[in-house]
Amino acid sequence: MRDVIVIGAGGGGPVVAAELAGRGLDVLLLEAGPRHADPRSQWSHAENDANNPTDGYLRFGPQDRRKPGWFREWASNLYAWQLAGVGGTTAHYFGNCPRPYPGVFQGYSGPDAAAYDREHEFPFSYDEFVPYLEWVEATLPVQTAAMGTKEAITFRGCENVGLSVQTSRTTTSVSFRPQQNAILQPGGNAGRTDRTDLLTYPAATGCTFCGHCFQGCYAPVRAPRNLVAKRSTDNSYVPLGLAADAVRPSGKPVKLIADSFATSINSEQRGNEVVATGVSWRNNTTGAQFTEDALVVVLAGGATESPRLWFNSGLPNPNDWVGRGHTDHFLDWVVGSFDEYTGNSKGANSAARVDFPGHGGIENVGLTPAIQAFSMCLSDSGVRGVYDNGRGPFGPWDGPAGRLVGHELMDLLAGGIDNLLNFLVITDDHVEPRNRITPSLFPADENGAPAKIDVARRQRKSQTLANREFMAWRAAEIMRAAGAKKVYRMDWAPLLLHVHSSMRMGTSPVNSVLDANGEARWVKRLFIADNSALPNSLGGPNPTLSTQALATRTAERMFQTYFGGDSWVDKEAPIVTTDPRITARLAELGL
Amino acid sequence: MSDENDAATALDRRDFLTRVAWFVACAGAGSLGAGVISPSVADAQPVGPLAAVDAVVLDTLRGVCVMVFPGPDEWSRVQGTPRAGPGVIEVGGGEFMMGLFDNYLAAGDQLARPLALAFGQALDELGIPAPLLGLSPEQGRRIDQSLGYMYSDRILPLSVLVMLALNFGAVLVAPGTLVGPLGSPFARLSLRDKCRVLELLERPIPELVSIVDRGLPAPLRGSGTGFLRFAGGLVLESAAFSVHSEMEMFDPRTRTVSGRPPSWELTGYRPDGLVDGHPELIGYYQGRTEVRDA
Repeated sequence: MRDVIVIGAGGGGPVVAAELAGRGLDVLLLEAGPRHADPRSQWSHAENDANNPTDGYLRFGPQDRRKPGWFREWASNLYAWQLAGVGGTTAHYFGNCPRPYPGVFQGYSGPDAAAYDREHEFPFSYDEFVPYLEWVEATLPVQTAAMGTKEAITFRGCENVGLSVQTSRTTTSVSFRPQQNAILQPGGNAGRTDRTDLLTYPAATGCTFCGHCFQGCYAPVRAPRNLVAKRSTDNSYVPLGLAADAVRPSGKPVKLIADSFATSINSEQRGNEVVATGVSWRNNTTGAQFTEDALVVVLAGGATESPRLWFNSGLPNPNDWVGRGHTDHFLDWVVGSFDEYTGNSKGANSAARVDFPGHGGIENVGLTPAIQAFSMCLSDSGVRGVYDNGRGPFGPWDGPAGRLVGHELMDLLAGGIDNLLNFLVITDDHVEPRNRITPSLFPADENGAPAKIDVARRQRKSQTLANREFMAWRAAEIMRAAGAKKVYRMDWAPLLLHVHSSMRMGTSPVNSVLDANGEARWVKRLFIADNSALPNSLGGPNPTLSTQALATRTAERMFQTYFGGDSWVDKEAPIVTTDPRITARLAELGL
Repeated sequence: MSDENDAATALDRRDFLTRVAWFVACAGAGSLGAGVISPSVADAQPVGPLAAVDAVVLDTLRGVCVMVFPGPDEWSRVQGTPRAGPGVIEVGGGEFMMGLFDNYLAAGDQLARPLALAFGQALDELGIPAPLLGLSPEQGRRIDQSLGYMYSDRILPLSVLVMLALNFGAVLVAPGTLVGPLGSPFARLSLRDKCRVLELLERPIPELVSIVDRGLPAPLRGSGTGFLRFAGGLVLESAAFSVHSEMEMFDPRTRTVSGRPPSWELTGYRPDGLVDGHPELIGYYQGRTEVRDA
């Protein structure tokens, strides 16, 4: 009997695991995909090697790359960039850690309150959440991004359209700023050379500006695992959990089992309540099946797999909100071509942002050739000049929105990968019940019925549609003000990267799955601690920081409710995950 | 979730029925005999029990590659966009795309088998002779078994399904592509007409949906439209990612890329190969390395 079993070592699960292990609980952390114990010998900076959906090392599939990935059913022209493995999507995210906008919390009364999704608020106030944000910001740690050329050009565009610079962590007005990123600031030779011998730890520390965040970070060369620049959870919270006994007096190391797919959350009826009792899983390599009991189960499989596992476990769903309310920030993409060098393929992949509270945000994104071409061939507006799927909107960009192909695409790319600049439009999309995850009717795989991802391309709430258009226009205007000679809008089809809210926490039992503590309303001792637990789209900011802060709060509530413990965020100091005691313990363990 | 049914489609119902009638008439007149269609894949002919099928798949996917990376090759020339400089056909871009689809998501026993069968039957009903796709009439009637013979029970070639969908669209959009150079109707299309085929998949007409749906077990029939839209988007996106990556020039033993992939040459990417960092640090905006709330 474990104290806690956490399903999923992605962005949220390791937070709960590390925090509870630090307080002496016996925690098992299960991960469906691989653990990359030595990324420098297992990964590369090559794009296909990393991100090929069939056999890339960052894919949704088992550890053995010769085996096929896991099936999902798609209901439209969309693509879910989902991956399995310790770290989950934080293995390839850009480390962006902006705070949520205060307007999406209960009790917000600012003059722009009506612009937010008032039907799907956080069930507590922003002020209550701030200490948890601060705790995670210190733990990762989150730092102000350094600036490369693409950031300098982005800031120039913002200045030229008259935007103000933000110098606080909480966003309260339209503004631009360097990102608050979970990426260690460059030190020593980092950012100053391309010579490997000079970029070897400790001659270099933090971000080396390699430009490969999306391929997973293992820089600087030979840095200890917990000192790797990008603070994916496999570089931060997982090491903290594995070394829990080295940093907390009563700590007990997390037990991590990877390449093992959870196939069932087990439960039983106790009086009038359904109670979670444990987890069953399957080792992907051997096929062996296991079951363990636990006092508490934490589901953190991600916004697609968490509802899948819920359905496959036969857990109750009385209000039919399990899997509903999937939000994806209804992303869009604006590309500018420049006569000057932009540094597009170099540096942290996203280190500048613009916030438009009530509408969403914009961030710059640096890309390498394959993802750049992919990004320009993903659209809901067909192919420019040929067909537009009934869309192809015009605006302050050049020509209609849509894909580029043939000579038009080639001419643009031939101008140089480092003469392009990309803006990601991140819409404040209001919770839409029709966007959902359901069990696919296609035959089950070895892990049970796969997920069907059903996200509308266009049927969104009117405020969401207006927000996206507003943001796309602003993005194009800033791009042009930055000096772009041509500006393209892609009108992306849904690219599911910022997925969340499919098992949402809420104020009302009518339209939520979790209560204000993060516990399932209809299954006691079952908590959810990944992006799917978020109540809404945060107003637009990237979800990882909010998920990790909410996971911290959920861990605290769980500790108080079922283990007779006390809160800690209000009493203790966080352990920074670069702590030398963690470094030393990982070295002892050979991890 | 069908949320685009209000939009116009590339081919309306009248067009569809007209072209079906055209095919049937041609087939009846014997003008589409097997001898007219001669695959002309110039190099590296596939081998194996379904080599002819693979040859059409490869030819079709080469026709897709050059949509997003035209070069000095025959497929780009036929498409109408030849281009100087290193191309992707010469370095195996089509073969790489085949590998991507054939190993994609273990979709075989879930999706590819019934849909491939449905497309095969639809082509047969349209009077398009089976050898068009490299299949004998017997194989055409037994496509399910034929595919199952070559591939495992877990993974069937999604590339065949993609090929069938693209070529089905090609003969609808441009009937004249039943004959001509190269080895598949899709590869014979102009770039513009290739895009119209993708439009047909992204915004499928009811007749095309019915072809897909009837290949699926009854509970799945509503998934046909979703699959077509997904496939319509996937073809270009995945091709763009694939042929602009390092493809198979990556050496897993040394974990390095050997040579210069065409896209690296085109875009001026990493002139000295992959490196562990760049001298790209400018500093901090307004010198601010830290922010705090008041």
